[in-house]
Amino acid sequence: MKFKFSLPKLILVLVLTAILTILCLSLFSTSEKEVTHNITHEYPVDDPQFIRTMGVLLGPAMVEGNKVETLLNGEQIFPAMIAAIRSAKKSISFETYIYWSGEIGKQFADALAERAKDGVKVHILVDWAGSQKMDAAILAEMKSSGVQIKKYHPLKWYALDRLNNRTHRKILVIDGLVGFTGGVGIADSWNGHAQDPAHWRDTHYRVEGPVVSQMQAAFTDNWTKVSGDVLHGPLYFPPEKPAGTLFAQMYKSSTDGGADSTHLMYLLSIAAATRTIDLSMAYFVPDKLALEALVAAMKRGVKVRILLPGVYIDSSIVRNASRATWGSILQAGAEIYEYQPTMFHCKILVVDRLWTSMGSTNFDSRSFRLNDEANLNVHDREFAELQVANFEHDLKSAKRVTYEEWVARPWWEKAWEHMMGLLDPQL
Amino acid sequence: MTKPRPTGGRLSLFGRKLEISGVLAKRVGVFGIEVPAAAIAIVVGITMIAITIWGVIFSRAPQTITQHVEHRYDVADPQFVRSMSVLLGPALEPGNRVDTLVNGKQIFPAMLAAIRGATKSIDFESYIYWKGTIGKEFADALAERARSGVKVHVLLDWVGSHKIDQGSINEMGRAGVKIFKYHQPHWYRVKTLNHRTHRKLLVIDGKVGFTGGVGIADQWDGNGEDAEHWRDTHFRVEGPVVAQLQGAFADNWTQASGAVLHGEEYFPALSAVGTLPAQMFKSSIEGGALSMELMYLLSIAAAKSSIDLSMAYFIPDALTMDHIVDALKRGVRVRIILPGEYNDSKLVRSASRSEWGRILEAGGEIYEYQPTMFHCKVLVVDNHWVSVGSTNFDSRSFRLNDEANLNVYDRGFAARQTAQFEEDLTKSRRVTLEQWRGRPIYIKAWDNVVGFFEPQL
Repeated sequence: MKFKFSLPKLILVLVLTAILTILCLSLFSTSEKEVTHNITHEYPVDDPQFIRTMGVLLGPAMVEGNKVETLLNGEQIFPAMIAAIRSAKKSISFETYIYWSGEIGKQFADALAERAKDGVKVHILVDWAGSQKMDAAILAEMKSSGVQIKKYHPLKWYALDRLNNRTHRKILVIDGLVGFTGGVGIADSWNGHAQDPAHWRDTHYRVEGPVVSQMQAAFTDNWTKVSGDVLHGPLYFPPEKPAGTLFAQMYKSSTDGGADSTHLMYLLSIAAATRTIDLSMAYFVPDKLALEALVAAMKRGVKVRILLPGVYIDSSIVRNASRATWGSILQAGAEIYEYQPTMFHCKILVVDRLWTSMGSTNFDSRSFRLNDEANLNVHDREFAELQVANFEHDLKSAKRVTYEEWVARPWWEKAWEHMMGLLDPQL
Repeated sequence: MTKPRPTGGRLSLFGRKLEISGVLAKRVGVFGIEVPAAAIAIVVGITMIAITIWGVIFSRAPQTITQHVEHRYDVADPQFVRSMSVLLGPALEPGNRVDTLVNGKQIFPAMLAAIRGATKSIDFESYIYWKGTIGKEFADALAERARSGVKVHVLLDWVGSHKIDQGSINEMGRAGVKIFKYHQPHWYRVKTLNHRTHRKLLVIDGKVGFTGGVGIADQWDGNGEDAEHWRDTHFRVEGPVVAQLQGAFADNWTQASGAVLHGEEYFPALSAVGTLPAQMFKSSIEGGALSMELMYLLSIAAAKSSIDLSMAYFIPDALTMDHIVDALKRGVRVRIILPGEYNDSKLVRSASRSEWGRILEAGGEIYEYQPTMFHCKVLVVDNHWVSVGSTNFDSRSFRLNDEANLNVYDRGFAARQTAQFEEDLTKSRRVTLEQWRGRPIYIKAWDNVVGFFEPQL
């Protein structure tokens, strides 16, 4: 048998091999800085040592004098964000993973375009992958009004290894003075008040005070990466004034910047817990280290409650992979609940009713090691109590999953979950 | 009639004959010539290796600053302090004390005394650790403390410490010192080979810190008196900013070991011990990528009256060069001291020289230090803002290596550094534009060829 390779075919084979190699390598190239040893409980969250640790290990220190308002569901979130955009006088910095067409997308675009026409500097950074459904007409409207729009990590042949690293940060900063962060994406699924499966449950936060400059810095970090331009000066970083009484910090993590900070923050928080951990989490696929930390906390007597999406979830792979990991924590006494009415998109951790972390970060490997994330941490009892009250309100619409139920799943479900669980490093 | 096709074959490779069989022995036509499939496999293999090497050499930090940083405020403006605080990570903190240590004669005894005084923890990170008297003294002191129960962590760059005495490593290991080599090559992490840690940190009990230019080798001993004894400056730090030094170490330690350093032993409560506002910030391809270049650009852009730069390796890229020339045009006096004949890297000196033209033409003053290798890395702006640490003024420090610098915002401290700068100036020779232009043609050509490799130097 004789087969001939023509020159073009040979070149094609070589090129394809090279691309495949790079893709495979890039899939397995996560952050190099990885916590692999468990963190022991040495001090509780009300110890000054805890605050020092968070300050020095995550980057920016905790600062006093902040005000953080809790916004529930699109019904409260979107009007507050749009009002803030309309009030902008100097600059608007907006970074989001999902920004697509639809009623909400249009409202944001109109407000942003209107401000840009008025001479306000408007910078929009959307993730290239997350914004694939973005409407071209909306883009054109904003660009022609003078809005600067950049896409994060677009598909480029010379940067294939970055394709798997997305920005998941959700940051809106107005005049360097008012900031927003939380779980919300700019799309119609977030609108309303979680009344049905088409309207999701989510929580977002409006922030004022010195910590806003840290939010602005998390934005400028990615803006510089994408545009090569350094945002600085009073338009973006005006003098800081106290606006409230909260002790807060905004930190960022990414594969090429502050690598494992998110993972570190979760592990340090869990290790510090002495009484309670209340976790509202859209995507929960813990790795071995996080599971061990949760089990160790329960052995110390910490009560762990975890609220996750139920049947309404936008990613059934994640739900399956998540279920595969529940065994050890259910056995150790964790209470896992599934939210019934609609997709549950909150990402909030409350420890000992004192320490709260919220923002873009999911409890999974993608958030811990692959994506660019940013979270706001607040160290305040009253603020934490409010978050726990919301948590308990959500619990009323949730169904508990017991260890017995979990063990009694049909074998094909278990098998399928374990297969999905293999994808853990990418989820 | 055709001959039966052979089912096996031979391939000559580096003079050895390889027996090939099976699918590799099949013959495939390329350009009409029949070649064994094995040959194609080799071509594919070589292509892959080439791609990998290309990836190693050209992979740089993903974020690059490409736009000019405008002069919008000067160093004395509170906006400057805000920019530095928010854009580099940890904010400037008041209440610190920083002692300036000049040359090994002052530096090593201070570091060794601090190590010997440790009661809880010692965290030590260095690029260079070479065999010799100084290396032995450090190993002995670290081992002795570890035997007494102090937690000792040593992180050495795999490349920078290749000349270390294996005996010292064994001695420290036996005593209980935890030692890691940074970016030891692994087949699955070839890309990291080009990224070294250049940080120079020593933190004792989380309370006293050291940083600056010094490496652990006999070249740094003495008082800069001759070619074998280099000129360098290091700093001893006390106060709240030491927690930031420890944070920079903890970052790389987690990367190397997977363990998290936290708690009282490493991060004790620190009260004010002096008057200096200071900040320690880090940069690396993996963490905070371009912070170092950002700090330099923001500092140069803020300069109003003077920039005094003591720099062991000076190879600015085009953007940095633009900022220096811009500062000169604003009327800022720019003085730069570099190593002269005595330079441990002739390549760097040549590459550096190829770039001086624009600075000299715009009125910058460039001096070459005469007595010995000049290894200082100190920036002073407007006699007010000082940045010291591991960072060189080149692409390797700005984009490839892990670095950490200490910034101090104080006129008195800046005056102390300027006085030292001016003392070094008396031992330096100025390079004029005429001299620079009058270099022999072959030197110019060589400088330009080497200058081409700027991104890797």
